[in-house]
Amino acid sequence: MNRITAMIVFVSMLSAAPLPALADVVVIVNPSIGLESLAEADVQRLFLGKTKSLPNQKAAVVVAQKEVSPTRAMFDKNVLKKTPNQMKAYWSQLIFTGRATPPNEFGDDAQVKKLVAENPNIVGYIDGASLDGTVKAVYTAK
Amino acid sequence: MLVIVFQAKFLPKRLVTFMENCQKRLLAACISLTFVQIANADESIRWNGYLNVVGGILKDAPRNDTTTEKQYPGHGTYEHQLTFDSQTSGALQATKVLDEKMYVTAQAYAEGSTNGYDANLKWFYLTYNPDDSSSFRVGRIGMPLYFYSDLLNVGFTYQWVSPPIESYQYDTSLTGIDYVYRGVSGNFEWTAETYFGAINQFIASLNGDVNTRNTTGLNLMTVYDGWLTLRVNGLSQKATLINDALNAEDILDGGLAQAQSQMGLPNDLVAAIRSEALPILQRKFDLDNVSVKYYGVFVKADFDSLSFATEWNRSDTPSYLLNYYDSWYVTGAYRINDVLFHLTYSTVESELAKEAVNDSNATLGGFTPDALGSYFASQIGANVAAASARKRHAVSAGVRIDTTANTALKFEVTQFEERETLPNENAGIGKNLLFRTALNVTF
Repeated sequence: MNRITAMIVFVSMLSAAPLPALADVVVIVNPSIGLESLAEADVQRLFLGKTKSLPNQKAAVVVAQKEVSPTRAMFDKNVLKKTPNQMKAYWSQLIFTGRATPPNEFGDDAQVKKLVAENPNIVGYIDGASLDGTVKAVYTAK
Repeated sequence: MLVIVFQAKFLPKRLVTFMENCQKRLLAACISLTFVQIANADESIRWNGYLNVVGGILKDAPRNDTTTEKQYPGHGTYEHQLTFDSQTSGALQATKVLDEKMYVTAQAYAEGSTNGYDANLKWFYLTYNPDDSSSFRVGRIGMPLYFYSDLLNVGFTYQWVSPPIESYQYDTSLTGIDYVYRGVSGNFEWTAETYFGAINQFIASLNGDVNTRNTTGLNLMTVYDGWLTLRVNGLSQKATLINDALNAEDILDGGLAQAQSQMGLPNDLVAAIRSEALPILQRKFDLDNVSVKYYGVFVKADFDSLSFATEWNRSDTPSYLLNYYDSWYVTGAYRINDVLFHLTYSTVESELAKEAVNDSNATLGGFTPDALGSYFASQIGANVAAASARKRHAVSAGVRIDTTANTALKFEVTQFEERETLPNENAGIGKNLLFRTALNVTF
């Protein structure tokens, strides 16, 4: 096998190998709240502080993950369509004019999931791989 | 705080010392807030803050006098040497959540241009959200006049080093009440905001104390599909401006002393002219309880990496000195990853009161004390009115670099030009260039 053939075989093996899949981010609620799904616009309004109610009119308290969380980075980028800097600027506008306060922050998927499982009104997001029967996924973002 | 330290290592030692002092003063002021029980602070108190370290230099030293030498307009308090005090500012804000519907906010603020970084309590108010759509703020708030008005000092939230001063001339706080109603209709998000109160503060750009009563405003804004923003606003108030530099007696005495030395007028004639001219000038300069109205329109289109915005405003103050002016700007910005380039054209043009224009064309009607007094008053009045009026145009180009999630570094160059508001006006008429850099931090 000459060097070119070896390279072609190596490249084809690379392309055939399964890449580590980017996990989905799921928005979760407590199963008892009786909500089947949320539209992306609903999720954006909730997590950008524009509403504190779910579409079924029940009150919602949203929680975010800490800034260092990769799940948060993916959620902000794919769902809220903002870079970390744009998120900071957005909340600065609301904070310094007293219009709204940003969601409380919790450490990771496990903490958020536990919080949602134990509190009917809390809405959070976690990595889809952490999903289990204690919470209900109402929105999935790639 | 760690972020500030990280950025500070790139800054001159003197500037770092200044920043540390500034932060200490802010902190000290916040600690003194009586209604925020810092001593009992717990996790329900949120601390936020911002810092703007702005350095700038003018290409030519400002010259604004009546000589025939080449004149150069100024820009705030910038000089022909690098200075950091003109627009450097910072604030520390405490928010205490009282319950799920109410919270109290207090903001201590310090800046270099007006009070040497002595911190004062800029805003303090109660926010009450009775339901999902309504929000009240009661207390001392940033006046939500133009689009960026109540964020004027939070440099991190916009692209420029500071919004164009042609439009954003005043940084005012309102003591009163503000109500916002939010709604959603299909792809439209909309808000209606109304406020009522009074202003009582020193305004640096007017170099005077401004007191207003019955300040009433209405802002309507809609956002379509997250990318198109339209805002219209209006405000009405009664205002009184107390500016020592506009003392009719001092201005008249200065003018008469100059005339006397040039023409050799006898003392008794000067006294007669003064007694005739003074009441005329006092009436012309009267800015007590005048009606003020503002109107504005703002439009912004925000695409993924490209954005455009324009804002037009009118200030209507029927009076000899202020009358009305129109200001507007148009700006475009293009983002490549963490770097944003922007270009802005801005302008403000005053319309002189008809009486001031007539005064500028007045001719001497004789050599009696009455005629001379009237002539002096009209000439001095027209000159002061022209100096108060503005015809200013500016083009600025800049770049914003988002260095971290909390910090932005900016570079901006602004070419601006002052044009004459009366024929043959000379003072401060010309062009100049301002170079600025800024580090904006929010935390």
